[in-house]
Amino acid sequence: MPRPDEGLIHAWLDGQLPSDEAARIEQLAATDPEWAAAVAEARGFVAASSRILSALDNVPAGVIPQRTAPRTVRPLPWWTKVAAAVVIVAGGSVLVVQRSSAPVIATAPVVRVAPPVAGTANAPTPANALQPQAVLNTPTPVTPKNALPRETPRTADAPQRAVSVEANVHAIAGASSEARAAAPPPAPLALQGVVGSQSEASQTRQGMRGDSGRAASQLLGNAIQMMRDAQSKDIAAERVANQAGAAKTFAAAAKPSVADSAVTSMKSATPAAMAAPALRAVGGVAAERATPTRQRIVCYLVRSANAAADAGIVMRFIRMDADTLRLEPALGTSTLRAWAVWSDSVGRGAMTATNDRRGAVPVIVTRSACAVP
Amino acid sequence: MSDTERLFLTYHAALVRYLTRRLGDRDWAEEIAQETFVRALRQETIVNERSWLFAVATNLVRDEARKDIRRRRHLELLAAEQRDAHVESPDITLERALDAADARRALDALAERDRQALLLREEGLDYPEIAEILGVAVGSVGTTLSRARRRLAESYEAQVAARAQRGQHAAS
Repeated sequence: MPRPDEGLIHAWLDGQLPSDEAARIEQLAATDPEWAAAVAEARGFVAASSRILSALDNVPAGVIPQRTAPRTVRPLPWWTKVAAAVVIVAGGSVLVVQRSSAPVIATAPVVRVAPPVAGTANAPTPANALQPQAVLNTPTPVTPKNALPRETPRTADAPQRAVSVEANVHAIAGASSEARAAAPPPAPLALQGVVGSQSEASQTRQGMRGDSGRAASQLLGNAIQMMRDAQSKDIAAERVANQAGAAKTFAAAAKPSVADSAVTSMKSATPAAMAAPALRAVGGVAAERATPTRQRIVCYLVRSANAAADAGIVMRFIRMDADTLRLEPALGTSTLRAWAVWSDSVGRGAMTATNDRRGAVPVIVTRSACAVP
Repeated sequence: MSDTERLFLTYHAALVRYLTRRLGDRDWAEEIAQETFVRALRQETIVNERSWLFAVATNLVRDEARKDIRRRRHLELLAAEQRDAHVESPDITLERALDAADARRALDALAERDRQALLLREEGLDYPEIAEILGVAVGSVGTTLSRARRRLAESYEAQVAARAQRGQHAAS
């Protein structure tokens, strides 16, 4: 009588032995107690392993972070990207402004100083004061004693001064009248840079530019919120333009090219338009102005492969993974998701519910208008 | 019904279950299963559908683990966290969650080949198919399975006993 062979017994229990071999094992199990005990033990292991493994079926889903997590509102991916870009631009402008040690005045192409205003020409001139001609590289003479003291309130004195910086004028030109009224005049930036010592001027400018940068960030944030609010009312462009103008005024005091980029990015409002210029703008490079376009939503009719041809739901494009099309419902907050491989103008795949992965139905996918049929 | 649809209806549930048991995460299993069916769509001829699908799925799991071990570890960590969090879920009893955790540890304690053979067999693959996927002789599958089942059961019992002991220590 052979010794019990566990492998053979399991193969017999699994029905994987040829009939003659199976008959032999059956005979052994029936007649030999040792074989019978081994078979009983093997049956126990087979049953136990099946039961143990079935406990693994009760595992949670949603462990992999997915973009298609259940939502309560319709997704607005491009708005999100616009907001992100604007925040990056605003943050970048603040950083650039605050960390920059080079005097801004050096970037101003022309500084013209008006005749002295009474009561404002008493500013001290340090011995090591910055010589405006040398710094500005401009032939226009600048007389330090004509400059205003640093403590002079900015908004109160601004209208009386005939000092302009072309870069700031450029910024103001793009702003709305309301924004212009609210914006601090840029003139003191240049003027104080001329009259004070180099360190004082730098501190003053940095402080003011910091204020401007923070104000720009705030306004840009407001603009983002307004864009979101106005989306459904189709008046976003006008409102955004107004806010963007104000934002531009403030940001321009910090760095005009960054402000231009921010406004351009906000107005263009497309992922492609926003990504490249906005990121480049952080580095201070002039941004490319992108043509505003609307996001195109592509929809598909998803039908069960087993149902009547007309039945189906309209789903919208999420993304392509290689040649696999990923879809979600065009309307509503259903957790249905579908995938399909596109071939010969038709997609074949399956549809599942993300909150119940136990069932999946094969589907046929065709292009469709984004309306429920 | 096209071949694709039939293939999907016939094997999708089993494949996802196999992968879920293998990976411990249903979403990950769904991803791998989808990729497997995508590859099946590209394949012009498949001699043995079941073994082909399970072999491709097994290889995808292996390849992914090779390619991105860090991601896998991260996902396993997330899965473990999710399982831990799941203990608190009202939908699943504490006992079931602990049972699943014990089963997972017991399965993880097996050698890779034993684990593969066991999971494939549980999905109904026959010995020649398992042998083909694992690259072993058909005659060794029975031995592999007997060893795997025994070790799984023993490991599971050890886990349960250890948990009970911990519970007693905690109570006292």
